[in-house]
Amino acid sequence: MITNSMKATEESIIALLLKEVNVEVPSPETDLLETGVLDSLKLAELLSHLESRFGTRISVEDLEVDNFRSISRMAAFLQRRATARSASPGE
Amino acid sequence: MLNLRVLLIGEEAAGVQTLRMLAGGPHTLVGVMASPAKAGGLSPSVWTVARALGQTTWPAELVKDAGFAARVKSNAVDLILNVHSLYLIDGEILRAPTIGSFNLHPAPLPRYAGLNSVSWAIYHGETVYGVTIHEMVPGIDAGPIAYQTLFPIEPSDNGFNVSAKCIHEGFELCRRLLADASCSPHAIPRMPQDLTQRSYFGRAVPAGGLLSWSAPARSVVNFVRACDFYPFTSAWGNPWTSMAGRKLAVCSASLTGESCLAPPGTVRRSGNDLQVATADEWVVLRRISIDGRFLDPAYVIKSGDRFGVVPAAA
Repeated sequence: MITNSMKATEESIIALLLKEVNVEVPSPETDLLETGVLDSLKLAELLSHLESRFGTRISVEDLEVDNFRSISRMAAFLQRRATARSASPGE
Repeated sequence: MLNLRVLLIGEEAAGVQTLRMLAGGPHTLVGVMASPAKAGGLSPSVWTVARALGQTTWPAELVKDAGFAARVKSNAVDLILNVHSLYLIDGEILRAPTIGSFNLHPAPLPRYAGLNSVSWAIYHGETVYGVTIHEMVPGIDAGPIAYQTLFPIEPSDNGFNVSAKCIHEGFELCRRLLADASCSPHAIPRMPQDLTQRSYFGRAVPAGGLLSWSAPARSVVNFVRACDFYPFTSAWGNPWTSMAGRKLAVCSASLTGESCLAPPGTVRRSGNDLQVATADEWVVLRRISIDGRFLDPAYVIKSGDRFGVVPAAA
């Protein structure tokens, strides 16, 4: 089920991709990696912008390809991070 | 405008971007030569993307085989474009296309020919860098220059973002090559390189990767920046140092501009920063790694500690 929060996150990522990485994505489910829409450089640039926009640090250990394969997967990853942070406010 | 028949030999992000441009453009992409996909990695390879786009693929290693020239000719290839593939291409293959074979090299040739050019340039403290497309001859990175763009290296730049600039600027040079070639093969500039100005670098890592705190702060930080391709790893790894018999890699550091008299390698805390003394100034230690794990320096190092020191190179 897609919540309003998830949808808002997806829309933020879509906007970031267009504005900062110059990549236009047809839908949140589009596989961005298979056809090289996001190559390794653009992915790294996107990660930097996601860190700034969502106030989270994406460590090398987080860089599982599948977390960033589509807009919806990125949004789910970021939502999980936000939930984990609010569950452990001291960290 | 001629419809060109192009053979792409490519790797890495630059290869993927060039592949997508060619696959979506007006010219015929005859095929793609790349290293067959390996498992893992941050994103799909040129090989994987080419297959997903329905392109004909050949292993890049075939460029060493003179017999492949016959396939280039039978496919009526006009242009070979080599983007970030490090294989040495057999001379017969270089001569096979009707227009020519061109290489995108991430450096301002004739300077910084060879390998790991971006790292060497930052290590040497260069403030101006560039990217070049040249016609390929049997000598490495030695052929006539077709196009070149120069750009500044800022003090805050590192290996990652200088490489990113090279990819971005190089992509535009590829567009220019294709545009000129499609007008007329004679429209492609070919300026011989002044090889008296050539610098060439191989695989060796400066000082075996050992960071010398006895060197000036700027040299220390340049070495760290040259190896900083985060979130990727550089071909040089990260420069390393030692403390109490333990090896640490220095992944990110920055200048303070504050002169110091403490013995090189001495650690002090300044506000939230951990700083290390060099020959002349304090340097901020921003990120280290131990046994491949990135760590905040404050977790493992404290004020008063001292890194191992080796004499600076003459």
